[in-house]
Amino acid sequence: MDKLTDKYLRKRKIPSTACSGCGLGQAHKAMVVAIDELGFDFYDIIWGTSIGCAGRQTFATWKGDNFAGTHGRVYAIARGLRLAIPVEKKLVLTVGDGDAFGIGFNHLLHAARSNAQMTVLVCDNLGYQSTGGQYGWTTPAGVKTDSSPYGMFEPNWVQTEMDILNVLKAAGATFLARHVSMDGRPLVESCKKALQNNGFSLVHCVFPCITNFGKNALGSRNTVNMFNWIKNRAAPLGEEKEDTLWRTGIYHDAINTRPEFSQLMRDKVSEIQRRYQDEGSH
Amino acid sequence: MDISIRIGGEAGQGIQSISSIIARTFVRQDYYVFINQDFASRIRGGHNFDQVRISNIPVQAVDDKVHILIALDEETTRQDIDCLADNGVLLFDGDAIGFTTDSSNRFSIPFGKIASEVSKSKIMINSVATGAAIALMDFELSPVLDCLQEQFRQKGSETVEKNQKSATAGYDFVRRNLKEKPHFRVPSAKSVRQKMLLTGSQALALGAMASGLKFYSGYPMSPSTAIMEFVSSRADQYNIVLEQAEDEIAAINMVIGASFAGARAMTATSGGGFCLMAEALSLAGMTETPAVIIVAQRPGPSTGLPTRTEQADLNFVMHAGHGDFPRAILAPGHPEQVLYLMSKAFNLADRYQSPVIVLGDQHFNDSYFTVDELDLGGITIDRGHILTDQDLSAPHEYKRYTPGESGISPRILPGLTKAVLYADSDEHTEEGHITESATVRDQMMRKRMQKLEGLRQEIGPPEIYPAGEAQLVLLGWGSTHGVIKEAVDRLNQNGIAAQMIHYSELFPFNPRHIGTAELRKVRIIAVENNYTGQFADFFSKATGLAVDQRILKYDGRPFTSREIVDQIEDKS
Ligand code: SF4
Repeated sequence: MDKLTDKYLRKRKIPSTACSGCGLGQAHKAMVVAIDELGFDFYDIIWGTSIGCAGRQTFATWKGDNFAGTHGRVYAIARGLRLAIPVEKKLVLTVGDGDAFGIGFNHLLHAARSNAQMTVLVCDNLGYQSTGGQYGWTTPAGVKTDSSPYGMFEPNWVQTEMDILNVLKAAGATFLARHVSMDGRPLVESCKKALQNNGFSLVHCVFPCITNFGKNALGSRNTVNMFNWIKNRAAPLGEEKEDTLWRTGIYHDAINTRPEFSQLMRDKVSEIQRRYQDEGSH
Repeated sequence: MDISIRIGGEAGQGIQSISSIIARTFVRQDYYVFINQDFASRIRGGHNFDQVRISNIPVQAVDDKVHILIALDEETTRQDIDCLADNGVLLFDGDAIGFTTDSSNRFSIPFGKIASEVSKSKIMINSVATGAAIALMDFELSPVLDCLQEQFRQKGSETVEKNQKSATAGYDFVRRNLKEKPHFRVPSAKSVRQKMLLTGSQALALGAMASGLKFYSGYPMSPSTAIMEFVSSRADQYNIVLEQAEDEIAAINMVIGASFAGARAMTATSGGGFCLMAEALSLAGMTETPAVIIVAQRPGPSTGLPTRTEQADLNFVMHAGHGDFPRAILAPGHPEQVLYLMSKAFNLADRYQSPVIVLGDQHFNDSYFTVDELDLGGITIDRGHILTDQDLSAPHEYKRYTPGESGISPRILPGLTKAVLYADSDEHTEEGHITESATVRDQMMRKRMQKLEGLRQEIGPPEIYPAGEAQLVLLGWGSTHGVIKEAVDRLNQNGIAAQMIHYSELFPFNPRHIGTAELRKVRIIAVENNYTGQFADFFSKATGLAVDQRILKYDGRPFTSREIVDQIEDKS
């Protein structure tokens, strides 16, 4: 992505600090391609990051304004920002599965409820990998990690009957999609849709972690095996097989159907101000 | 004998496999080994090193001079060369990192080429380097081969053989090509004793398990995660239930729930996670529920330096949680104390029905210490005053918060007796029912705070080393134990009568433990890994003694004894 790198990313930060072979770059790149195809410039977007590999490795890669939040709080920070930045600026967040679906889940639900404009790209490495590899809320059943030596036996958030995206939909999110990082074009298209929503969008993107997930789940750090392991367990919605873990595609598209959080707030403020002015003129 | 070996390179290059083989080799040979791990907050790349110190007397601190520097990458040759001792040797792969030299203390050895030739695998570089380092120390190779055999046994005989061959090739290369005799000589051991090599985290986890831990809940956070991992890996043997929580708020609340029901329960985190626990800490204080919380400190504020060390959360843990309630704070200085202190933590929590915080830090938690033997005899289990049906002649009259001795109310475990239990986070009556009564509030506050005085009598004295009179005192707490002791030894060798006063049981503080009158005549120097000297302030306030100088370090790295000695003003 050399041309795009020049245009949008800080040279000093590319290649990123991710391990070689890590699939995070694919997800990151898809978002940058989507931004480019929609014709945004780097100053149109403010990029926020969380804690963990997804946040750490994408932090300050963006040429434009950046911020890094504490673990799980970035959605609340983003709502505050949303109220204070110019309306036309867009917020993009790259965060991890633990950050979004674990420690930050309460804030994430409220961001969805209020339909605050932000495009949340949840880069899912299937557990807590930057702390060495513990299970998380999307770790597939049976996978051994440092904290699940008998294999992951608790239910996770991506089971069909209790999908996190359904929870977010019920909470009020206006755009939801799921992908794996090797999806290519469909992933870019989902990111574009997400960015076009003046409201809360979330794209859940599973990517291969070679260093810790690969070692724990597959017993090796072989990049190709790890990529195939994920790819073979993903299928587009409607084409799923019995062993499909990740059904990919758009789950919910209600873009621009509900008032956006900061817009609502701005409208209310001007309504109240008008009322005071009217009273004052009497 | 006191030799330090630094292995520098990128994360993922196998630094730890070299340090652990070297360390285990010498621990087996009855030496004392200390490993400091210095790494960046990255999974791959960056500049990282392990520093292995080998000595025939106990060592528990980093040295600032390195005798053998193994460079696995070019960065190490640049960044770490200054710490090489005058007679130190740099081992590097001139083919790989394009760095040539003819200086006698820069020794180029083709790690990569040797590994490929001997075993057809670049991964064996680590074993080649290990063998080379051993040759530089003029030590025999066979104990290394034994350690490699043990390390790789599970991977099959082929892997064992490849590693052994590679180590031998590295060893032979140095012996053949080293022009002068090696500068250092590590004599081979006379006896082989069973010593143990373990990290602070492992010691803390072991201490908890040996004290009857039954429930652990936590959230991954460096540098505390290794505690959870260790408990997880042994949970089956010790009959422990471990639940990873969705955040630290849930973790400590689960601990309170389990403990309320009677299980010995613990969580571990770092400062940022402990911030989230503050609300529940106060809940434990109000409901009088035992809880043990390990806080492995790292530099803040906020995300700070996630993989580095600091002692800046003392004020925080001392004051965290809204309202006044009793708590105890312990901070081990070395692993030998840990079993005793962890059992004390659980016993105090149970007996005083209060939260107990154990402070570690990255340096303590991640460093490997050599332990002669772990004394399980120091462990007692005292669950405090728990009533069963036999004790209750009239179960319906039981009141959870009846003030007993030292303000402690006998508790029952819910569901296990005929009595009914009410616990309340609101101010409550003896029965545990919510109240707004000013009189009851007064009584209850006094009852709870009385436990603080009980706890104060339980807190042990500081370690004073060496005994006797001194002109200069180095005052410290927690993980600086090893390095302060070493600094004191250095000073005494130079004819300065120095003494260490080291606290590992910090709160509630008992000023009677030290002779304040004598100390008034002595120069007191506080040594702390933080910016303000948090303990020095606390100590002064509690004892009325002035702290004359503060030696403070807050760059995220541990002290060396030389650094401390050099900074002492006015040694007369
Ligand atoms: S640990 Fe895993 S997720 Fe993190 S950067 Fe490395 S490969 Fe990627």
